[in-house]
Amino acid sequence: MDRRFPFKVLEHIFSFVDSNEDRNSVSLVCKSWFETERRTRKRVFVGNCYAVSPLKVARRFPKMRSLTLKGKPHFADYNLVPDGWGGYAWPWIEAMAARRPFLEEIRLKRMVVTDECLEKIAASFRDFKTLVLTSCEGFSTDGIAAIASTCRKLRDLELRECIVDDLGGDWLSYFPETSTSLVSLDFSCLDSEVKLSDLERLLSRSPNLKSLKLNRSVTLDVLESLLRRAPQLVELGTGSFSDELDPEEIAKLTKALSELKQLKSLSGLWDLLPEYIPLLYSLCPRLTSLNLSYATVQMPDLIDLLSRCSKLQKLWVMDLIEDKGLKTVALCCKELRELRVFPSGADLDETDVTLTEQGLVSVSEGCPKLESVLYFCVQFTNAALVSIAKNRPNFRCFRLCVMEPFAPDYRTQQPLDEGFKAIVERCKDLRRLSVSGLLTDKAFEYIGVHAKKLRMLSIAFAGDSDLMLHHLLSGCQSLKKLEIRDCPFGDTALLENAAKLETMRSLWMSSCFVSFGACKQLSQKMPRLNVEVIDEHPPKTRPDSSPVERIYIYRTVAGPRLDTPEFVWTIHKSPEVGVSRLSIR
Amino acid sequence: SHPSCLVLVHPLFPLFLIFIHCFFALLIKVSNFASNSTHLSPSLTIKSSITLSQFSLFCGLEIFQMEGGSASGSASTLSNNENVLVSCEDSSSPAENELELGLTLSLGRERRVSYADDSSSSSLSSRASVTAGIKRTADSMAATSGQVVGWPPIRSYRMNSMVNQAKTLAMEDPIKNRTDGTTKMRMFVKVTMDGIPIGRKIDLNAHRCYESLSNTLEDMFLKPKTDGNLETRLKILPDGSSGLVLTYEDKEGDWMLVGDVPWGMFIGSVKRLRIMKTSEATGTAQMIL
Repeated sequence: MDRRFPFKVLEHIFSFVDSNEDRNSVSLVCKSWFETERRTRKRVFVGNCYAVSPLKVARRFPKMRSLTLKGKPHFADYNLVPDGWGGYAWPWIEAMAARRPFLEEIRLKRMVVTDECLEKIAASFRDFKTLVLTSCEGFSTDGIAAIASTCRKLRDLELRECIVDDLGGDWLSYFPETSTSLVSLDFSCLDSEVKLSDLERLLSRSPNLKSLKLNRSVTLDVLESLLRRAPQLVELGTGSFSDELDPEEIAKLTKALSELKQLKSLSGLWDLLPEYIPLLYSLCPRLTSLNLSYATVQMPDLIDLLSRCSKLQKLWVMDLIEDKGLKTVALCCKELRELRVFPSGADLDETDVTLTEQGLVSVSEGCPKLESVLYFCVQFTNAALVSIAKNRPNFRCFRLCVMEPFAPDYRTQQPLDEGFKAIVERCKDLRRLSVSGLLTDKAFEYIGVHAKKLRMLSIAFAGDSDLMLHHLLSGCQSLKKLEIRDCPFGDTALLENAAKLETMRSLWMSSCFVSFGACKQLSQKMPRLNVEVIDEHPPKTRPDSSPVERIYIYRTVAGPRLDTPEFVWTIHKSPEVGVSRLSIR
Repeated sequence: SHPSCLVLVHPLFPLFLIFIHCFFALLIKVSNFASNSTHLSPSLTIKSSITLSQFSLFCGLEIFQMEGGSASGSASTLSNNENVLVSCEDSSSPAENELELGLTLSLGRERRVSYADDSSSSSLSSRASVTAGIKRTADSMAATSGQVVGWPPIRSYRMNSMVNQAKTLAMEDPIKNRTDGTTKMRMFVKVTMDGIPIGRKIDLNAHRCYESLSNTLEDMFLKPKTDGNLETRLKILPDGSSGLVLTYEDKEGDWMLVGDVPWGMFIGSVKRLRIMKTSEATGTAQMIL
């Protein structure tokens, strides 16, 4: 008797399995499960675009409808990866266009996307619905115009913090003249002005639009006319909020804002002037997400605003909020789940610091649902970290950036080891951690021992020796992404824990003491890793003991990549060839 | 880039000599450690190396080109495969126990920093010229403030906004100044000193005259000698007697000597400050004159 489930039954069961991690596990059970799973997967996620070839992915998932790709390493956000490193979207777009014409959604992060890519997308995917580009570069507004004009079923067009060659605001007029199916439009990263009439008409004929994020050049005086045409918005990113308005215009704008009954998320607010804050009061009680990180508003005004936002779940703000402002947040925003405090650049003079560790301590005390934090601060203490850990053991993401490299606990002058120990000990669910300040090997021993669910770890200017890296690689079981800069170690720990690297997505090390010889050895030991040496100023000769500027190591089944620029060397697998740079243009 | 002879006029040069002594001893240890066994010996934690690396990072010194004598690099042979370009060949490394130590005094780890005006940053491809535009802003902000690249870790996109915010904060209308005094009108400008990688910010509105500004900057940047007097005083106008001079960049982008104009005029036009070596300032002064 055939003991296997019929394909149809399996297929039905798998349709309830959403998460890709679960689907990956399912596909490892047996061949028939692998086959069934691959034929039914609709959303494909590739965390490192060089880990697998586009062709293989296209062939494996015939029913693919959504593709998410990530390209450059995370530290590319901070200019640590030289331009031209890679992460090209073209091979993927080309492969999908040829084999998977029913693809509907493409989401790319940190990749190089050209106008050619965008035109290809527009031309190849009939039912294309969603394009989300985060931190991408390499394209111009012409490419966007192609998408707007050709994709008749376009629902989402989001450009999040991309670097775009802005040739003007004409692209907005390329949307079809008949009503559009737009649900979400985000062009906040573009510079140039769009024509008001184009925008007004687009809003009038997009009845499904729920999310609109304008760019900075959309001035305050036109905001009212735009909002009148889109009262159904759930997410609004305003343009610049600083023009002079006469009382009549202010009244009209206040009314238009109060008409946004469904608005839950507010962002943009560039150059927000204090006198315009009362205009936002009508929105505050319903807001769940507020991004004030571009608003140079001082603490008293922020308090006025935030004390009315009782439903707030996500708050991004600058350090102008000061400790006092965060205390208000702790009192009033009991639903807060995510807090990010960015530096305004005004607080680097140590004698006048108004945002201290106390701010984060108050929020951790007052907000029971807080689980994700990004906090930039000039200095910190162990005591504060211990309190925070005690108050809030439910952290999933804890990123602390003490802006002074090697800054110790400023009260006790001790390293921040004990503080971070408390964090990893108590927060059992911690998935992402960024550490900073003065840290010795001990801190990383604690992390290795306690942070069992940690998936991503970012380290800068820390540690004493190779022991640090050894603790991390041998201890953190779930570690998937590790990125390190300016730490004094390398070879021994890497070679000792080479096997661990294949269980991780990637490892980035820059300005550490990794020698060329170690890179070679590592590459020979682990054939399924790509060991990339990135050296913008390579020495004339490369003896084994010479240090390399940066290494990027990632697991891959696609072999060494063929699109490396001159400053990237993929270490060859076979020992006779020392280093090879395969460059095929 | 700074020629290495600037090491001699660097105020921290005496400390240099002390550390070199310890350093040689450590280098031998480190090179042996790196080239020896593949298994980790936990007993060999190089505790003192952190202070040195900390110190070296802090002063912008860099130690590179370390060659452990006992390491025999495997000389790689040229590949026969035409498709494969072998970009690097091993030199025949000397078998003697020679230590090569190259020290450079760099502003913010120059070797790894791509400055906007540095020729090495022409590695930016033309395709990404617009990327270059935005990244140059971020890089040039890092470069000119003497800060390390990519630190603090803020996306270039946000960095550029920060640059604009700082201008907004500095140019805020005095009418918006609150009368209850809780929010002081602050005017922050960046101050960098040649040779120190991390820049600082100073509130110019906390001062009413050049003297107090000079005193504050001395406190921030210069280390006092054991007898309480400063090793080198910061001179507002160069009279040739000290090693350092204070300059500022005005609204037109020109670098001027601090102290020439009345304080009010200075406040109105200053964008940022830089403490330069007198030798370099002479050249600038000549350009101004």
